[in-house]
Amino acid sequence: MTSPLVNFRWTPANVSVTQATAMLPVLIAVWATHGPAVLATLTVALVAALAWEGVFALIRHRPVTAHGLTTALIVAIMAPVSLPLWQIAVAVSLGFVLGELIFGGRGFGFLNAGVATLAFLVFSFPGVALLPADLWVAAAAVPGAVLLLAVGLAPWRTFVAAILMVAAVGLLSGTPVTLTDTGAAVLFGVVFLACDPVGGAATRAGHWLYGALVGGLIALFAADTGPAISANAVVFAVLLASIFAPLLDYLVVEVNVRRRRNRAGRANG
Amino acid sequence: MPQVAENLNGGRRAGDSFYIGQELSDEAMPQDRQRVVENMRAITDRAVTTFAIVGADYQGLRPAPQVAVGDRVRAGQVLLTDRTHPQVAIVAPMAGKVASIDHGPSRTLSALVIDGATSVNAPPPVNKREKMTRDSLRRTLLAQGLWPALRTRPFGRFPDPDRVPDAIFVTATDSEPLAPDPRAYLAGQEQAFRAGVALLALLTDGSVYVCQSVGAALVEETPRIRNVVFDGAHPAGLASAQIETLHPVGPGQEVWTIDCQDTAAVGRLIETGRFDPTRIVAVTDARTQQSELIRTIPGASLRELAGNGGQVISGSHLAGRKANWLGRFHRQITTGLADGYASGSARWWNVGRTTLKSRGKQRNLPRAIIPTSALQRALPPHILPVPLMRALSIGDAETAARLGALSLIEEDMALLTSFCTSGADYGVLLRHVLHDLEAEA
Repeated sequence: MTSPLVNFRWTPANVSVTQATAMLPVLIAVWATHGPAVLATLTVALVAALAWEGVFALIRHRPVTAHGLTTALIVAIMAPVSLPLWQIAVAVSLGFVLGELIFGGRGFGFLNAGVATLAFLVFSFPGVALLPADLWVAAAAVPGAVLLLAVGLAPWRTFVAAILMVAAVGLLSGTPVTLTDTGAAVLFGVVFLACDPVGGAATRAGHWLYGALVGGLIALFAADTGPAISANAVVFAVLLASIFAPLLDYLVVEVNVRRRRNRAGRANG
Repeated sequence: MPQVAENLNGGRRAGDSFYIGQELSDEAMPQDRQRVVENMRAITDRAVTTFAIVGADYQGLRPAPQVAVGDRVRAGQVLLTDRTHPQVAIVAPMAGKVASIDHGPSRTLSALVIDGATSVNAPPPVNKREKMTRDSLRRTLLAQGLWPALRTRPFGRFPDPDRVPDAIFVTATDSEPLAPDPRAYLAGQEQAFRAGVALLALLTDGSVYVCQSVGAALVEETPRIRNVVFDGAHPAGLASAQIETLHPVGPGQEVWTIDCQDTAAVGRLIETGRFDPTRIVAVTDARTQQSELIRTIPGASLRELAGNGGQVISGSHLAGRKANWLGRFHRQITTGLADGYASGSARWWNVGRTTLKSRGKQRNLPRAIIPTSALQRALPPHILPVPLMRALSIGDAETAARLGALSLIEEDMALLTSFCTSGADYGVLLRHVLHDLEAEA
């Protein structure tokens, strides 16, 4: 609010574009590690997402948006490269439609469509292990993470709570995992999946609770699969936490309403 | 006095903090005083020939005009009264001839325009009384047209003349973008201001909070009159944020707010018997970010005050409105904005894009609310922005009330409107909900 001539405001469209931009370095890192097959995944995911976007735009008489871009990028970065492309197309169709479009589009639902897609992928096709995030991928995620946290598209409370919770549970349970490995494994998921403003809690206290829930679930699911934190654990932790996010917000609202009543009573008493 | 430091925006950044009950001393902030003196030297009188009473300033008014088009009116003459509360009068700040009376939808007032303004016919002086009582003060304020300077929470309208509020908040803070410190407006009329605050204390059995910026104490404290300092980023200077902090409005309660210049006008009216309609406003050029202080009357023609081409906004560029007349509660006039600027949902940087993209029935569809971090700082403390926005956007009055909508008025929603991705005007949505709640009450 310093300059009156700032000609910028957030819209759902430029939020999506910013998130996609933040993910580009990660995509390049995955491409460098796993080869050009990543681009095939991206293309198929993008085509599937945009096709469904177009169908829903026709049915609902709404302008076509490009929100499918972030979903496609998340899928390309985390889906295994060896997967048949039709499986990607099926998972994107299910995840994007059920996670986002049936609610009215991005921002009207309570799930991140990328998370829903990856979860469908793992559920539907047995033996799918999502790409584990190595150090390069994690390093490439840092600029995007800084960008999203700085401009307020990723709630820092969620980020801090999730990271602290993973670290705390890791330290307490004494699993032989170094902090760099753990950090690398969860950084992309926490920033781009858990901290997506659409899929998480929407109040300040809710951000803390939701972040802690994500971190706790990551640690819990990771304990099942082995000492290293798998990408599957991150995705399912975020999916489950997203489902609970509205409940967390509801609790925060109830506490707020009760406090308001008490404060009003006190001021008058 | 205990030192209580609280934080308006969640207790993180020192820059947002405000201080309640801070020790105030006369030698505090010498540079502030310097600034005030400089500003005072710069105040210029700006006469206008046309002015208007604008209906938008009087929320809930059911107007009963007491004059007709073509009538000559004296300064201080009653122009309108309220049908529900006939004692509530809106008076002419200057003499002139009624040029037009325009009505809005369902018999509301759009604007009552008076031209040929002169101040020659001074109104009869008020009888100076030895001792004002609550009733005599109330009658004087009603008769002299100063009653509508008071606004209530909840609902943000002029108060019922028979009501006794739980507290009164005097607003001597302004955190709107590019707004000068209201101390500049009070320079030279400190005595009248102090008298006004003491008089306002007659209207309530509760406290009178004099909300001010960091600096010398504006009034002497008594058990019921308190100096409170609010410092920090917008919305720290808005009355609603101050009420939420000090005296949240509960069921059945009512709190009144009044601007510091109106408070001084109350003091002057009673102390000297002089009716003084003039107010000091800042004319702010948005390009250079420079302000000039002028003395004029509420409702003055903006074209005459700042008619140098380009868009003129009554109020700040954040919460103001595109208008022909200076708003009753606006302390700023913003000039130098590009043509096509509109506050609220249709910001000028979106105009081209919306028309380009949306055709036919796609126009005006609300976009999604993406809860970005900026939203969390847009409302007074203890009010949860995103749940409130969701309740307002579907018109859920009951939930909105539970979340604190009764503490808010339009000006509080300006930041949300400008930060939110949906493009909705939350001031309008809030007013819809307040209408519903008022009808239920």
